[in-house]
Amino acid sequence: MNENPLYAGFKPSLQSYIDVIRDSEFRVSLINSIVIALLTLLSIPMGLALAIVIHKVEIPGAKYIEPMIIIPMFISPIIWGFAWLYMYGPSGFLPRLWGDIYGVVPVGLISAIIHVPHAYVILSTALLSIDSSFEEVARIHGAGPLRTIFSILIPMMKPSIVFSAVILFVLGLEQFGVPLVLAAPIGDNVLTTYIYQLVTLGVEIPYSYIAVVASIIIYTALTLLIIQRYLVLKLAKRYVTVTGRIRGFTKIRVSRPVALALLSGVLVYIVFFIALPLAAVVARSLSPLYGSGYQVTLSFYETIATSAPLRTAVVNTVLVAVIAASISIPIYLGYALTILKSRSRIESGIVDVASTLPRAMPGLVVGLAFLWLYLFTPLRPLLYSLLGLAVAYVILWSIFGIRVILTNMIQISSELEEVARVHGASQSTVLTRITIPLLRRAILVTWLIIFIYGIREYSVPVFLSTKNPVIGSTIVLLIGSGELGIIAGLATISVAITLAATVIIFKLGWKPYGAIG
Amino acid sequence: MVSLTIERLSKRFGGVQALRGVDLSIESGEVFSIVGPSGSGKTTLLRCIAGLETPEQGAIVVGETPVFDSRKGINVPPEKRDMGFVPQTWALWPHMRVRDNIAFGLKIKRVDEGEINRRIREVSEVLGISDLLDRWPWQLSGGQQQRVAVARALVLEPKIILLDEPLSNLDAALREEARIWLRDLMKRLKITSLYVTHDLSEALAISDRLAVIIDGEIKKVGSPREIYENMDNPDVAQLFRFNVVEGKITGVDGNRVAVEIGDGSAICRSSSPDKTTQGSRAYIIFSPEKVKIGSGGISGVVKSSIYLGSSYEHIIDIGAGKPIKARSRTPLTTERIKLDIEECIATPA
Repeated sequence: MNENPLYAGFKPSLQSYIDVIRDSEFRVSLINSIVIALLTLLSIPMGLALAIVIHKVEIPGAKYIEPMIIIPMFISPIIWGFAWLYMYGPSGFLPRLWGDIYGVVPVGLISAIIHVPHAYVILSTALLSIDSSFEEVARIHGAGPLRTIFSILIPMMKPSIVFSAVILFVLGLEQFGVPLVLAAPIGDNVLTTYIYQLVTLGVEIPYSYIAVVASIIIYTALTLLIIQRYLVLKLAKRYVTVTGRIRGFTKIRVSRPVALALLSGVLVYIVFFIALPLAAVVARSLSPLYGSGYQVTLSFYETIATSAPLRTAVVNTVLVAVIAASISIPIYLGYALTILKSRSRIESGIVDVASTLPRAMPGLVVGLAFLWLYLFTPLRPLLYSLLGLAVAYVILWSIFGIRVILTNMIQISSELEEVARVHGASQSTVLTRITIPLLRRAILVTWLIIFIYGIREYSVPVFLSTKNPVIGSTIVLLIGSGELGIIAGLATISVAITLAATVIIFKLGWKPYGAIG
Repeated sequence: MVSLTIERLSKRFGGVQALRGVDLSIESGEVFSIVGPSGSGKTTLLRCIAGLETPEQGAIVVGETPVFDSRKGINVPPEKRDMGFVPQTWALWPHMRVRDNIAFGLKIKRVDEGEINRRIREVSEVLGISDLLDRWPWQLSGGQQQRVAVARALVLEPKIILLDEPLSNLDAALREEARIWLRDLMKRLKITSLYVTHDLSEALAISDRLAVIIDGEIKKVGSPREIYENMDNPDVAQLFRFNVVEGKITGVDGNRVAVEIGDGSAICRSSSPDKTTQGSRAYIIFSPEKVKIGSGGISGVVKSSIYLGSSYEHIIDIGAGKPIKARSRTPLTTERIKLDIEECIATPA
């Protein structure tokens, strides 16, 4: 890769933009990305239905079902891409009753399915904040349960539906993992896979060209997110009743057959869209053969254990996740404290805007940005190091982590700290004896979330871990190598670590509501 | 046991002037209440005294020691002011047992273990919470939490105890009981107490003296009786649910004036005889109990009546602007009535 100083002989010019727009392959990639983004919106009706069934209807076992709906969020799209390939692909475990799994439309549909948890979380947050008295009035005034759902609940959730639509569109637009597995191999590029190709294959491609493609994604996403903010603010004024305070929350009582029917609907979703694809990954990692004549073997795991680069990737993944999670805590804590104590509008405004930026950038572009940052600034020692990757993670997910701590901090009544002050504790004593002990759970949850994200991440390390590979970047590199068993083995290890951490988070009573927002 | 002096204290939040030059002097051992409607600045005043807010101007002196003085640049941090604090929500630290909640301030002061235990035992006996010491805050009832919060402040043997609506989270019956208990406790321990509340009857019942604060200004200071029987400020009067109507002065005799109200008149005591001159306009302030219904020179129309248990309260239009409130033992049978105002204060409009 060319490592010339990026800004040598800097002259502002729009030439690169013109070149990019004239490039027909760019235009096709853009259209493909938009198609995938639009199809991703299908996750909203699914997420909405799940949110209503789980939170508003009395069905047995809802408590246990919810974590299963949310878990897919913590597994990387590239693993999902392979999971669907192993399950429903040309040589997958299920008989072929449908068309090809390769192509833009299947990628869009899978993108919708793997983003259902995101829609579910955003819409659940809204649903849970609607006081039950609104529905109760409707019920008492003669509306049946269905009528109440469609004429009261769903209309009241309109701001959140708009909100989730923009987020999901952007997530679809920036989708990298699934198209890399299921569209790029047959020549259908999307914006992110196009950038990936330019960087990895293009010998003669100038940085400026890549930067322009990346910027176009960022501009589009940022514009959408700004429009979203405006719309949500405007709508929220009209829907002032949707507050964050839950005063009463009742569930709709349905007859036993209806409850069981709804429950089986949810279970079919979990089995076919979550459990079976993941099971296929595990099965594939244990079998050298396709379809018939299934034999269990640990040979892929033996390969992973004995091959130095693969073993290092597994160890590195855990190390980076632990480093990122551990350095994130003091940083996020300090940042949250500053925001809270300053109570300044300008600062919270900056945080608000800053929270939009990371979401507007695909992980691949973030990785590229940090690569260039480390290459061309005094931060060079961080280049390709585990710490450098961890730093990128900590910055990238800072808003998310800070929010978890901040929401918990806000819930701590300031009186708890004030009494301590008046009764003789200095500011630092209050921090160590009152504030931090009260935040213990939030700190643990934040650590685990950053850890899980660190295990999951595959796009940021693509360019940043060239010399210190992690599982995610290794899987990306192995695409096209035909090493499907090794990929399945690495994916299984990643999923296993994620699931273990997720179990702890749920045991801690963590709820994802408000987490994406 | 010390006194507390507040001089010309001003505090502004953005565009809102929360305190406008407040002067107060609280004697040592006194139970002193600050009463005011919500947003009047009463909690701000308490927070300034605690050191949780920094005023722009003025001084706060505890005993002989200034803890805040804008001119001398003194601003003692809250932890060095030697006060006790009982906040509205009680704010028992949820991650500590009752015993540790109470011991917290003593541990910070590095009081030795034996002394801590002795003082906790003593204070919990006084407050009747000895058997709650090993419980967690969430295992306590509202009344118990309130007692623990008071114990946590008292155990420090503070110079002054600050109480911010400490009874507002209790239910009505418990609240009446608690105010008697709290007043007895403060008087028995001879501790200077500053008590903030929006509940007027609570302030009257609990305090030796009280100050009424409205819009960041102290409108009236005195003992409950002095304030109640000398109601000469229209704003304070309205807060205490007195009637305030405007009328013209038609006659003056020393400090007594005759005032035209509706189609009749009333004889009132003037709050400032040199200003309530013949022909000038005045506010007439009188309590609903001082309206005699049945006979008299003022005619009125009964707009509504409600039953209060021991009496009836009526809203009566006497043609003097705002309708007035009046009480009677028995229900009224007619809509048009005659009435008389037995006792009133006239204050210049």
